Amino acid sequence: MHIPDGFIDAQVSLAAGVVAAGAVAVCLRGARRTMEESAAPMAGLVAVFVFAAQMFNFPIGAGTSGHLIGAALAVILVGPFAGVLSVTVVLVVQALFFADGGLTALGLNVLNLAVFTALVAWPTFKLITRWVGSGKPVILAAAGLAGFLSVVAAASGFVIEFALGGTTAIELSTIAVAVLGVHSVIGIIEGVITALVVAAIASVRPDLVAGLRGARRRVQARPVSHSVVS
Amino acid sequence: MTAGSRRFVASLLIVGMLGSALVAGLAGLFASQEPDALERVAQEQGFASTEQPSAASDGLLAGYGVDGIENEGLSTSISTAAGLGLTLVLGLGLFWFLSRRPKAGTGPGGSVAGLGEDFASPVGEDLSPEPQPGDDPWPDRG
Repeated sequence: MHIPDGFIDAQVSLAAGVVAAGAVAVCLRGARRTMEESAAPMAGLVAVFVFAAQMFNFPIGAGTSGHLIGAALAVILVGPFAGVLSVTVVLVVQALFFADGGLTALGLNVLNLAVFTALVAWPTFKLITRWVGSGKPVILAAAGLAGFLSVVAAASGFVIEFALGGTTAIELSTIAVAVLGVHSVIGIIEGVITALVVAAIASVRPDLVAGLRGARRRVQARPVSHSVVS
Repeated sequence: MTAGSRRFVASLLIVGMLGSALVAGLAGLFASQEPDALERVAQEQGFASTEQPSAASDGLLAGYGVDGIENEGLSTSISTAAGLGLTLVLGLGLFWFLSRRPKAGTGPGGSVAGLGEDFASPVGEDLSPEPQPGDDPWPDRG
């Protein structure tokens, strides 16, 4: 769901570029401040995985295909800062070398696919695993929901951008229904795959899942009212 | 860094790269050629024609193919492998730079000594609390 050049006008593309650059700057600072040396190989590998996952266009019927975004998986595995950056690296490589997603639309795509996805996926996973626990069913549900909502967030980003600067006059509700409808289906697949991958890694090496740091331990001796959230 | 954790990082990278290469090969063979969901919506709503060619569309790898390779699957797989390589180099370079920490009191090469230490922790032990915003994780810096 990369936006090509021309769908969205220059002003909105430029504005999105500025906001996206700001968000990436925040993530660069955040990663510089908090990232441990040991996390670098994993984050690089996550970027590679995101690129590979986005190659895989799966048919979703009606002559349409979709592909994973991978942003929810990225932020759950390596945290929000490195997660946004790894997806951004992929988007930059795709736009520059593969002409996948426009160059003037790069800001729009970074905003939708790296930033909005992360803003939704990270709190979703974090809050659920912190409040409910970190048993396998909870991890599956939390990662699945994070994956689904991340795709809906990215699609909503496009709808908003189209409303602000679409180069074609189409009624907003029509475009919203079409874009959100098809991306809900893609979101379900994104959710299932995110859930399976996160749960598989969490069952072998929970220490490699950044989203589980600070999660409640598997064994819950305390009543729910004693919330660990302070 | 222990030999075990170094081996773990190495195997992580190798397994990850092999897995990604496998996905790339499969993508070349099986990925759907149907239009992407957003393209499809653009076609149905009649604004697909507003698409402008990207300034990068004359590149060697543009459109996930390699200029001059006729076989489509092979062309996709090779360009995908190139993309994975580019992403790996850029990603690792960026994250290595961002996570590099100056270490006090170590000789040359000391800055890489901590690489992979975290990977060595046994299963389930690392559910440590998140650093709070006020905490300075590197109090000895600057």
